Amino acid sequence: MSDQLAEAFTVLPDYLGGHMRLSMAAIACAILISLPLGILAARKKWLAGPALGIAGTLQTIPGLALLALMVPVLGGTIGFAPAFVALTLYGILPVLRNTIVGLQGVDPVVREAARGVGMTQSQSLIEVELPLALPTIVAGIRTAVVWVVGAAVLATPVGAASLGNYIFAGLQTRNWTAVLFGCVASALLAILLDQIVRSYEIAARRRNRVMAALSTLAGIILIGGALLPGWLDTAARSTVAGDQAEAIGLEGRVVVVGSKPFTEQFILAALFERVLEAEGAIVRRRDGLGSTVAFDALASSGIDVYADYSGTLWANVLNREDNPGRHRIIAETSAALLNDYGILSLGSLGFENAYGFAMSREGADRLGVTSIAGLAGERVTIGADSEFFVRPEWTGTREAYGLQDATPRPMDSTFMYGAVRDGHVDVITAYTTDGRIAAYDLVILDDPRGILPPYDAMILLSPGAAADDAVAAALAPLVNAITPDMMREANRRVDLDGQTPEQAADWLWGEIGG
Amino acid sequence: MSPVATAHDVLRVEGLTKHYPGGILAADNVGLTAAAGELIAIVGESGSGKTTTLKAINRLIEPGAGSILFQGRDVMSLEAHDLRREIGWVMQGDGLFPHLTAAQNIALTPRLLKWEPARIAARVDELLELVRLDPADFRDRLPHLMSGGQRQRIAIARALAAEPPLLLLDEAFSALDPVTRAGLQEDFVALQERLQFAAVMVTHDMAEALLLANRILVMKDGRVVQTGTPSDLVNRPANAYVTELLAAPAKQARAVAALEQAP
Repeated sequence: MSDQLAEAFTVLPDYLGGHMRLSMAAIACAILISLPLGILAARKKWLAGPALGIAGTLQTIPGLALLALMVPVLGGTIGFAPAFVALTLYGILPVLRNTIVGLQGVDPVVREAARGVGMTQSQSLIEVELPLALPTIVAGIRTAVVWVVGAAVLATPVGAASLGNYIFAGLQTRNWTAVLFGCVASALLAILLDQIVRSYEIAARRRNRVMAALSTLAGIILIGGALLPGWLDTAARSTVAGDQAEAIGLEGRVVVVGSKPFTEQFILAALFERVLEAEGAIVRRRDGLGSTVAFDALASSGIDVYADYSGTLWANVLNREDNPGRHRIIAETSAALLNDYGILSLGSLGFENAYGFAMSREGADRLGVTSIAGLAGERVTIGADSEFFVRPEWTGTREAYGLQDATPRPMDSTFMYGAVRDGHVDVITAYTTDGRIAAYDLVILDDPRGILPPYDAMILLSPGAAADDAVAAALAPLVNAITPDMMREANRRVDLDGQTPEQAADWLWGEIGG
Repeated sequence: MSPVATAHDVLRVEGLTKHYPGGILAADNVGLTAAAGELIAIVGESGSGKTTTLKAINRLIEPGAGSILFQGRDVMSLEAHDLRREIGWVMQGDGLFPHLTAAQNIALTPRLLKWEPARIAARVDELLELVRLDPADFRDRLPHLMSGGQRQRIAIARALAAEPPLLLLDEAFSALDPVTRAGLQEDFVALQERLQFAAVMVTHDMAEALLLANRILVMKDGRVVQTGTPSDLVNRPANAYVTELLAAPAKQARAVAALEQAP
C-alpha cells in the first residue's frame, strides 16, 4: 500500500501539472469566448437563444464522449489539443449563461439612470452593468472552474496527462489507492481554485486591495506550484537533449510510449519504458488511451510505440472477418500497416491475449457446456468490456453460434472476472492472459468454428519512430520474449497481488533476462 | 394660453410629435418653453404622453417630428450622451447606482465631462451641503444605507452636479412619504430660486404641480389640453378633464379648511 502511495507521489508533478495546464487554459479560453458573447447576447436578444442553445447542447454530451469526439474532429491529434478544445466547450455554458442572466438582471431603472447622466453605451456597460452583474458572472466562472477541473480527469483516454491517469490506471489495475488519490487530488484542486475565485470576487466587491492581493498570491502559488515542477523538468530534459543532440542511438531522444486502458497494456508500457531508458531515451507515457485513439495517435506519430493485438487490428483496421490463421494474420496485418499507415510492426511479443468466452466452472457444469456452441439459444447474460459489443468479433460470434437470446452487459473489464465468479453474469469475454482466469477457476469455452481471431501482441512503431533503426533496435530483445505464462503471471501480480505495473514490468524484464 | 417665446428660453419645444411602433400616437404637436428659474410641470394620467415629452428633451426617447431647442441648439445636432451631460436628470425611485457611494454617484457627470479631481471633490461637498446632507456623514455611504428621502436628495445633487441650465424630473418625488415629500419639495424650490436653473417636471399629482410650478401643461392622449399658471387652471379650467384633475386637490383643501374652522 505504501508502495502504491509512494508511486502515486512520484508522478504527481507530471499529472498535477498536466491537469492544471489543461484546466487553466480551458477556463481562460472559455471566459474569453463566453464573456464577450454573453455581453453581446444580453443586448441582442436574437443571439441569446441560439448561443445558450448551442452551449447547452454541448453540455448534454457526456464529458468522456465530448473529449473522445475531439480526437477525430482534430484529425487524429491526441494529447493536449483535443482535451483543451473539449474542456473549453464544456466551460462556456456556465459563464455564458450567467453573463447573460447577470446583465439582463440589472435593474432597467439603473440602466436608464446611466443613460440619463450621460454615459455612452460602453461606459454604462463597464461602469455600471458589468459591476452589478459581477457576482452572477463570477458564480458562473466558479461553476466552470469546478466543472472543468472535474472533467479534466477525462483527458487521460485522449492522451493528455491529468489526475485522471491515477483513476483510469488505478481502476484497471485494481489499485484503489491510486483511484482514491486521483479523486481526492482533483477534488482538492477544484475546491481550492473555487475558493480563490470566490475570495477574489469578495475582494473586488469590497474594493479590498489587500484581500485581492492575497487571493492573487494564493492563485499564483497554487497554479505556479502545480506547473513549475513540470517546467523545470522539461527545461532540464531539453538541456540534456540539446547537449547530446549529436549522440548516436537513443541517447537524449524523446520516445512517447502509449497504452490502452487495461493492466497488461500498462505493464507492457512500463516494460517498453524500462528498455528504452536503458538505451538512454527520454520516455514520455500516454497511458490509458482509448483503443482507436491509440492507433490513430500512432499513425499520426502522436505516440511512438505501443502494443496492439493482431486480431484487433485485423478486424478494426483491416476490416477483415475471415480467419486465415495466426501467422498469416500477423504477416498480412504487418504488411497492411506498413503500406497504408507507415506503421512498422516488430512482430509478436511472443504471447497471445485473445478474447475467450469464460464461465465459472460451476456455471459451465450446470449448463453442461464446454464450447461456445453450447450457448446457442440460451438466455445467458454476457459481460464484456464496452468495446467488445461493437466489434465485428461479437456480431460474428453471435451469428455463428446463435447467441441472439444472450443479453449483452457492457462493463469495465476489471470488474467482469469477479462478476462471473459471483454469478452476476453467466459468461464473460475474458482476456486469456488475465491472471484471474486461473485464480477464480474460470473455464474458457472452445471456439470450434474459429470465429474469434488470434490476438498476438505486436510491438508497433509510428512512422516517425520507424524512420531510423534506433527505436526498433532497442525494443528488438522483446520480440518473442514473453511466453503466455509469463504475461499471465505479470498480470496476476498487479491484479491480484497489488503490485504496480512498474514492479510487474521489472519482474518480466528479469525473466526475459535483461 | 400659448407659450410666449423669449430670447431667454433655455428650452423651446415646438410641434413635438412621436409615434410608437404599432401606430400609437404618444405625443401630438406638443409645445412648451422653459426660461431660467422657471419650473414647468406636465400633468396628466398614465399614457397621456407626459413622460414621452420629457424623455424626448434629453433624447432618452428619440423625438419624432417637431423641433426641440436647448439653449438655442437643436438637440438632434448633438451626440445624445453629450446632450444628457448638459441636462440634469432626476427619475422616479432615485436611480442611484447601488455599487457607488453618494460621492461617486454625484461625481458621475463631472467625471464624464473630465473635470479636475479636486474640482469634483469640492463640488461634491458643495452639493451635499446644498441638498442639506452632512458631507462627512454621507460622502462615503452606499445608497442602501440611506433613507428614501436621503437617496432622492443625492439624486437631485447628482443631477445638479455639472451645473446644468436645465433639470428634468420624472415623478421625482412621488415615491416618497408625504412628510418627506413636502420637505424635499420646499428645499427644491429654494434651490431653484438660488441656482436659477430651468426645470421641467412630470407628475401625476396635480397638487404638487399647483404648489411648485410656474406654469402647468395638462396632457391627455398625447395632446396639450391646457397650458397656464396654477391660477389660470384653477380659475379657468379649459374643459371637464382639467376640472376633474383639479377636483382631488380642491376636495382635500376644502376638507382641511372645514376642519380648521370647527371649534
